[in-house]
Amino acid sequence: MNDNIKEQNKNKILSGFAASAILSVVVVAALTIGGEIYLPLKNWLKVTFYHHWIGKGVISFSILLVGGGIFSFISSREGGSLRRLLSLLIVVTVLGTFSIIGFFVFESFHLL
Amino acid sequence: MTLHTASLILHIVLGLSAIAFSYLVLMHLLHRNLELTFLKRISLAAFLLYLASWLTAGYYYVDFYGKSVKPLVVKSYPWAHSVFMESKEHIFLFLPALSLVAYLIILFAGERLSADATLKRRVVWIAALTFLIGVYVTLSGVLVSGAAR
Repeated sequence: MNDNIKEQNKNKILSGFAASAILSVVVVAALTIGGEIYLPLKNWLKVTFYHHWIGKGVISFSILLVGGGIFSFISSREGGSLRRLLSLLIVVTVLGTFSIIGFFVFESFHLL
Repeated sequence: MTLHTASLILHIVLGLSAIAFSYLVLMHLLHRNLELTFLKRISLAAFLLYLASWLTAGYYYVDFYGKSVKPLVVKSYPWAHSVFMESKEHIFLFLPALSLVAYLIILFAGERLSADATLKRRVVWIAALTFLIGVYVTLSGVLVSGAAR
């Protein structure tokens, strides 16, 4: 296998896991805020996984590992695509962090 | 010492070690000449330590915190739980994903990082976010523990 193909395959794996990390972060933020707004969702997590936090952890880690494997097959071989996915991961993480903190500040002080 | 106390101590030690390794990853990524073997080891260590800290935290949080600690915190400083504990426990879930991505990039594309400034900047940002989120989670834990006392 020549070096160029090896590099392209590495790009596919990295893009796949960058995409699954993005999805994992988005799902954690959505389940966290969504579960507080729509209590049946939080109750479903509790009933299914014993505790809502375990549910969010199992779902996010499954997405990270299984999604990473699946996305690695369908991701682009291009380095540019990897860089764009990493930029998106940074943006989504910052937004997810501030959304979760902001939501609990607003909810705690009844600002919603 | 009870199993709950042991799991809390382990969670703190493992979590602080993970953040220390994240800081090391960030600082070493900023070097002009990257020591790849060392970077691979410390970024893998950070990822594994976040996983171990997650498991010990899970046992303490699910089995003990809600029943025994949360009522004390909510009684005296309700915002300590409703803002800091709630945000800490959920934002923590970002850390395994971020630290795994940083490790995989160093593992598979480490040799390209010196030549590819854009890719290196992205990894530095991911390492910095991992460290900063880790610091927020730690400080929130300190605050919640203080509120419980």
